[in-house]
Amino acid sequence: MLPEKITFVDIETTGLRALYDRIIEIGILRVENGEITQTFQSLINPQTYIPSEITAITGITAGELENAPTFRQIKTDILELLVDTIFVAHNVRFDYGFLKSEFKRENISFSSRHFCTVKLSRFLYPTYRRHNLDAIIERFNLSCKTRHRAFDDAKVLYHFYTKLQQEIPLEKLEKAISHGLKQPSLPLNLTQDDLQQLPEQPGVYIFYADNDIPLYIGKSINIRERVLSHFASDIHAPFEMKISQQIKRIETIPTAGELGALLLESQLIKKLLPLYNKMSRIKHELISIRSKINADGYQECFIEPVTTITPDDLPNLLGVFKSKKQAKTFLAEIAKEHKLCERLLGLESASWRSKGECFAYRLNRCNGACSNKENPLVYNMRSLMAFSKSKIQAWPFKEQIVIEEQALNGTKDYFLINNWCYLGKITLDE
Amino acid sequence: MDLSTTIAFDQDIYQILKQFIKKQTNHSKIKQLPSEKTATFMFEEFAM
Repeated sequence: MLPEKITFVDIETTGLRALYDRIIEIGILRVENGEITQTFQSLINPQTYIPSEITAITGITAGELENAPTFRQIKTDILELLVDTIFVAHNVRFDYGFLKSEFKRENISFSSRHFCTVKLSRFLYPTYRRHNLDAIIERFNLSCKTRHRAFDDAKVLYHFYTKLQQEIPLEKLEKAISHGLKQPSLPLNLTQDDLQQLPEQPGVYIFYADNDIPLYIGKSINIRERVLSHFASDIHAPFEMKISQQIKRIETIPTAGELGALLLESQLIKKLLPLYNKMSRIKHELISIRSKINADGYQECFIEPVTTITPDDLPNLLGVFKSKKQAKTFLAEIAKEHKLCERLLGLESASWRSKGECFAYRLNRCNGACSNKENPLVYNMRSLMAFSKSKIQAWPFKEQIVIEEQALNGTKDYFLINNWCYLGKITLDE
Repeated sequence: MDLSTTIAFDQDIYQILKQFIKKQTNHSKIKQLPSEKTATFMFEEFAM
């Protein structure tokens, strides 16, 4: 049985991010038992800037929106139309996600069963490659007064649905809708086949946009499961939503095990600089804290930028940080916790350096290493203990090691590692 | 074989290896290589 109550919805927005961008127009057709029972259309004042490219696409100008109602003013009208219906849109994750976010801003938890007409088209017409709204309009000879205006686009969806009822056997259409209600939506530019072909084994996956621009690199012990989880959550996560909108193809590189996937992901992120691996892709100039024994026998610390670290540096390296601020915060914490001398840690301001004891000593926060009042051996031992959590661990092996990982199909990866440095790998197929 | 010619420390790789060595999985094994042979030679010998 086909759903009795359906709302065909389309929105225009200020951008692609449901959490940050806003709806500027909405069009809704409520259909009960095949008949349109109510319609609603309105411009919505987003109370924010309208990018010029949005005006270029939709024709909606900031001036037109100035006197339009806000979402708050029409939220009740919209809710009344959507209640108890199945929410239908073209690329439903987008429209549904935006409406959820708008309602959330109004402290309304909106939830509805929904299905996607892109997916419906794909399911019923698997031989066609294109399933965007223009392709559907052309294929079914539908009319649309103004494309990229919410109500006119929503009307196209209704007419498409009506056409399907005429052309597709009822049982098949019911099956397609039932399928659509159960499955997460696919990104517009990927096919079911693309996902079916994903390997269910450890490895790395790369999402590409147009012109093979890398969007995101991830790793998993089950590539297929992880990739599908990206597309299942995109309604709620702005990051997943952006990927869904832009992704054009997926490349996968299977590995024998988890370590291979982790190492490869780290290397590829640095090499390809994908758009959405922001934190990992930034090539930080690392900041190190190094130690040196001074003329009085005390361990002194120096904060220095560093580009590469060789194993020979490790004995004097007390820690590696992503910023100078992070390094200084760490030093301040251990100075307080272990009563270490702020002057020897390099934290004291220059104006105090010429004076006898450090400022912290006068506040009883230093045991007096700055003025030879603490035994250097005792101070150095306390200092080493304080740095134990930041210091790069001693290499736990006598020499270099090989780590072998074996996949279920017998493929083996061998990684050569020495002093925490990854030297290379070979792969042997069984 | 893809074998780097220089040894460079990488903070991310360090974190990966530290955690991995700590919780070795059933699907992996670690073999130490003696120092008298070159890394490359032993690497090939071990893998073959």
